[in-house]
Amino acid sequence: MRLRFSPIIFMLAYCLIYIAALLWDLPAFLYYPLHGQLSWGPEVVKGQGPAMAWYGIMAEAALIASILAIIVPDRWFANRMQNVLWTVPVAAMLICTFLMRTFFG
Amino acid sequence: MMIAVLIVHGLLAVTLLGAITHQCVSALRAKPARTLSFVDRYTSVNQRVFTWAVVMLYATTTLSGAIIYPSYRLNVRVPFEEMSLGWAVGLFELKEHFGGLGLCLLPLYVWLWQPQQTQSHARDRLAITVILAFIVWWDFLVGHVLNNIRGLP
Repeated sequence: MRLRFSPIIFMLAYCLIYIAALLWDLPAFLYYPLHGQLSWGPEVVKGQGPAMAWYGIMAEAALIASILAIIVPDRWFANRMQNVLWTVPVAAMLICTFLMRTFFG
Repeated sequence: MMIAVLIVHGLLAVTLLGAITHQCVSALRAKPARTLSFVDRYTSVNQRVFTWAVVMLYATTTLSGAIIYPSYRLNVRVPFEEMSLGWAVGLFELKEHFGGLGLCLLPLYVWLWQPQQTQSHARDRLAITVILAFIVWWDFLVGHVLNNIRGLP
C-alpha cells in the first residue's frame, strides 16, 4: 500500500489543533528556558521560571496533523473546498488576534 | 552566540521577504508584461521557481527564530512586562502564532504551485501566497520594531 500525504488535510488539521490548543491552553509540553527543562502536559511546574507553550503547541499540531494527512482521504475536502481553502488559515489568524486582544487593552 | 543566530535570522528573513514579495507581486499582476519598464521586468518572472526557495527560507528562518526565542522570553519579554509594554508582548505573540500557522501552509503552498493545480485551484494558490507574504512581512516588521525597543543582550 502506498502512503500518500495530503497537504489539504495537514493544513486543515494543523490549524484546528493549533487553535484548539491555544484556546483551551493544551500544549503537549512546556519548556522552561531558565533551566532548559521540559514538562509534559499543560500544568506549569512552580519554581522553574517562565514557561513557553509555543514549541508544545506546534509539535502536537504537526504530529497529529501529519498522521491525519496520511490516513484521511482528501478527495471530499479537495472537491468541496476548492478555492476556499485559504479561508481556514485566515480564520485561524483572526482567532489568534482575538485571543491576544488582552495585550492591547 | 545568540547575537550571531539573531543576525542570521535577520538575513534569512530579508532573503525570504524578497523572494515571497517577488512571487506574490508577480502572481497578483495578471496582465502579461509588454514593456521593458522596471515593474514589468520585476513581475515577468517565472513564479514557480520561487516556491522551493520560499519553503526552505521559511523553514530555516522559523528554525533560527525558535533557537533565539528562549533568549527573548527571558531577556526581552520580562523587561517589556516590567515596562508595562503589553502591546509589544502582544505584537510578538501574534508574530509567534502567525509564524507557527505559516508552517502548515508550506506543503499546501508547494502543492498549489504544481502545474497540475494551475487551473483548478487558482484562487487558493494566489490567496495562500498572499497570506504567506503577509505573515513574512508582519513577522519581519514586528521583529524589527521590538528589536529596536530592546534587543537581545
